Amino acid sequence: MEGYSAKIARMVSAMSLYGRELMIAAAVIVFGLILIKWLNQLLKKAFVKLPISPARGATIRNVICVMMLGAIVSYAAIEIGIPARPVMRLLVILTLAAIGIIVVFRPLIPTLPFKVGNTIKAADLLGKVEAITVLNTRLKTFDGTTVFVPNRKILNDVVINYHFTPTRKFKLEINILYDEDLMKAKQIIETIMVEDPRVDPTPRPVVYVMSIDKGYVELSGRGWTNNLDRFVVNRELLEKIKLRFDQEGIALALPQMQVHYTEKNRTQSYMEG
Amino acid sequence: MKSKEAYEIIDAGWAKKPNGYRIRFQRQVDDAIVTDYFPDPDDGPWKSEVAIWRMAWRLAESKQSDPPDINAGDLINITVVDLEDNPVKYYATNQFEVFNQIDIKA
Repeated sequence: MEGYSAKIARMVSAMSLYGRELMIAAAVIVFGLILIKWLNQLLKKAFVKLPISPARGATIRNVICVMMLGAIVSYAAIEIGIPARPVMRLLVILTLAAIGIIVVFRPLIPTLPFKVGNTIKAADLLGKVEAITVLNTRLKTFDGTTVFVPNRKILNDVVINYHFTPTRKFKLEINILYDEDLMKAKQIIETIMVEDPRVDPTPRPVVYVMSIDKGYVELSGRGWTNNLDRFVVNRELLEKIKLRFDQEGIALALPQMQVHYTEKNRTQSYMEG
Repeated sequence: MKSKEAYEIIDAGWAKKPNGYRIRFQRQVDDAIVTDYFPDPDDGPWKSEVAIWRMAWRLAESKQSDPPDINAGDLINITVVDLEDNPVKYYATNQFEVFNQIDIKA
């Protein structure tokens, strides 16, 4: 009990000596943090109207907030009674050390291979990156689901970032019956691909006969289009090809299998059973 | 003939690649029939032939007239054109198609 009494007495004594300065320093930090939060929100709203990417806007906001935090902590330290010069020296040293560490070790720091706004495939999920935090990445999938994926899982997984490739190859898989006009079918598919304004003129669209041993002739139209248009282009070209085939009297083939049935096999099966 | 020249001949003479599509239609404004476009000529054209024809059909279904009368607000002679204002064949029939067609002279 005497120990506690002595501690309380020392605290009262310290408060009576430095209480005013401590209160001012605490008030400076509290109001400073509120000010930083308010400024962050204000900048966030302002950056939306400016022609800068969300990722760059977030970086600028973070830099401003960190600088303000440093200034507020320094001011609070000076209010307590710590001489201004050592505080400023410490601040400069910390800033330079931080910059040095970032410059030297940045290539070695594991970073996520995408930014906010990119469309990616990671951890078996396809979606648009909405936010990146220290612990997780917020993805919005194309069915509208918001998924929080731990960053460690992404770092250990294969990531496809569709942002880096503006164009992408598409494939149109079309099967026709053996007795249909193969050349006419190829011409129709190629013409429809060439005519579409969204299909790149180079590399030129091509049509291949992929196989003829599956009970039908397997055709594949290949072309390149804008990455963001790929899904729609693929589906719309299939629609146009189906309708043009109907007009030209070309029948599509359904997947089929030929089963050869003989009396000998039947007897063997029966005996085995 | 070099391959570049051959491909230039093909590009100039074979399947044309339009730069986009618009819907051309007519409507009555103050007792006069005016021609209008969707998307507006000030806006960019649509790149999807499927989507623009679907839009034309939707407009035709929404603002049908009762021939030979044309009421205010009716959208008639709806078709799809390229950026040079040439009609485009409807991909579903491979024919030139006009929705809600009315001969204005009649």
